[in-house]
Amino acid sequence: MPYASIVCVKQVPDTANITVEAMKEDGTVNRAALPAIFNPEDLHALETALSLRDEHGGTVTVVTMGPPKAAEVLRECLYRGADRAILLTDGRAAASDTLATSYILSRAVKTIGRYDFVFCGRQAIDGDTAQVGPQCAEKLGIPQVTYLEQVIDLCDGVVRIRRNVGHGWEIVEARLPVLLTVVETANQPRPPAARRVMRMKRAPIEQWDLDDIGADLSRCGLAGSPTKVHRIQAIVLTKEGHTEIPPTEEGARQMIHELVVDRTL
Amino acid sequence: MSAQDILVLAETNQEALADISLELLAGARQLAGGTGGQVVAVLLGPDGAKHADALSAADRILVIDDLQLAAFSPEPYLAVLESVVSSEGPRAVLIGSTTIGLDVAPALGARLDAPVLSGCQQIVVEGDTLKVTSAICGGKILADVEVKGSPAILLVLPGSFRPTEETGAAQVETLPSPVALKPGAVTFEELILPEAGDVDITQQDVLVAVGRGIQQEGNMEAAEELAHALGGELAASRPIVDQDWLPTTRQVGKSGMIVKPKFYLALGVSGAPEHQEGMSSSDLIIAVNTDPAAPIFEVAHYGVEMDLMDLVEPLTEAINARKGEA
Repeated sequence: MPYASIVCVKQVPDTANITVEAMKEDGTVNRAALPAIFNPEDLHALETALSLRDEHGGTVTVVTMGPPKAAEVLRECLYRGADRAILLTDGRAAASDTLATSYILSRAVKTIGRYDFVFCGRQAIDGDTAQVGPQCAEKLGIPQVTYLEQVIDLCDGVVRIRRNVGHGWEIVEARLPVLLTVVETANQPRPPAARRVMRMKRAPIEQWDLDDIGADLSRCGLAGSPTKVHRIQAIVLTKEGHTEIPPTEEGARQMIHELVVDRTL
Repeated sequence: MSAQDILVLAETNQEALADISLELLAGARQLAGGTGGQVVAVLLGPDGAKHADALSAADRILVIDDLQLAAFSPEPYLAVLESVVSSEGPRAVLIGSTTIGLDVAPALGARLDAPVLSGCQQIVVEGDTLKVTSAICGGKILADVEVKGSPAILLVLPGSFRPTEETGAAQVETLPSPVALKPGAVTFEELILPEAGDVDITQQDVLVAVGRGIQQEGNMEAAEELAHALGGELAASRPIVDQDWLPTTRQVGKSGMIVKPKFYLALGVSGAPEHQEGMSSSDLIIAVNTDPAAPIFEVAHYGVEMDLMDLVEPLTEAINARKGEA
């Protein structure tokens, strides 16, 4: 039986080497200062959807919200095997927090129409909130399962899933439609296929704005966002009793001595 | 109940009250001091009442006794919390940034149209505003966020508040679920725990944890020698396990093990919040890292800014020499 999947993806600044200079006053990232990449866990969400389609048939539609440049990640999805890609771009959606973003994405999913699965990465590396997936499920009125690591079985509208809960794994079953958030240990994303790259590199990408998805503007952007970032700062060392040890033999000896005196060793 | 109250979701795991619950309670007491409201702890499940003593520093404890809440399942939890938060109408809801908390809080916020803040480390009340410091970008950036709406749902990072020994005379109210609960569309089937056979790092007094800074697989042996010299075992942050240099059973952090040794030596571990979540309650933390801005230094009691390989061998030798003297 074929299944229709929708994957929400995001283009994010590569925060691996981020500094405070790369942040703007309003708490958003100055995208110009950092290379833009495919949010890592979203690639695993895409791979989960693609392998389900390979096994059971169906379609994979990807959607992203962002500036026009975010179409880059959509094209990458097409190269890797997605069937359809939709860019949701609208200046009125700028400065959306997680609630506004999940509202907008849920409107986009509803506009796409019929679906069995919505996949998201567990979290985006820029905000680390892990909120948008679960909130999107709420706005759609469908159940959610987070931390998906493996789809064990899928039949008769019930999916059996292994989720990583930190101290172990849980096996859960969910009725479709369901929203799943995927962790990076789930799979090895397939690389872009050369022939698809040649075929898709100029393929048009559907572009929607907030009117196309019938969004209530009071729930989007700044107006729909109850959290406001006030100030951004780089991490500072605040731990009480923090001691710096000089990187010398004497320093190491002193540290061992203190540990012995404190009966740690 | 008042619009200035602070609600705490007390979390239990495998029958015991989770450490985060007492940290949240301590945080809630501070906040309630600022708002002038009460602290209300919420315990879910038929066994909830047995944890009430440990939470007596709250003003009120609500125990929701329903069999559907015996094990965590997002839908019944959400239904109850939605109802409790709506009827209590608190100023803020404190939820631990744990597997369960991260499952529940965002969806609860979406249902109540309430702001949700992740990674909260500090929370201060200023008039009608909550000023929250939250960690983003793997803990490298702190964002100061102002929240005006009530209730604000705050996902608090473990280790942000120090539990107090304080006790009180909380009034315990055991109630049936305010909403009829039935199994949801998601059903829990089974819990699988990691393979036995390897050492259990959660039981060690001394852990030497290696991170990306170890650079080469060949360096792992020297780190393990140091761990053994210290009478402990080798652990690791996620990148090391992802590269298959150590088994998953050795991984410290949110997606690995939560450890609390007497001594945690972090070698070349940057210390993202996910890692800190697994080790920040260790009694003594020493961090060695070449990057002075590494977030691990934030939780470390001692910090050394140097290449770990310059330290490992001399330290092993020094410890062995010291043992020889004794």
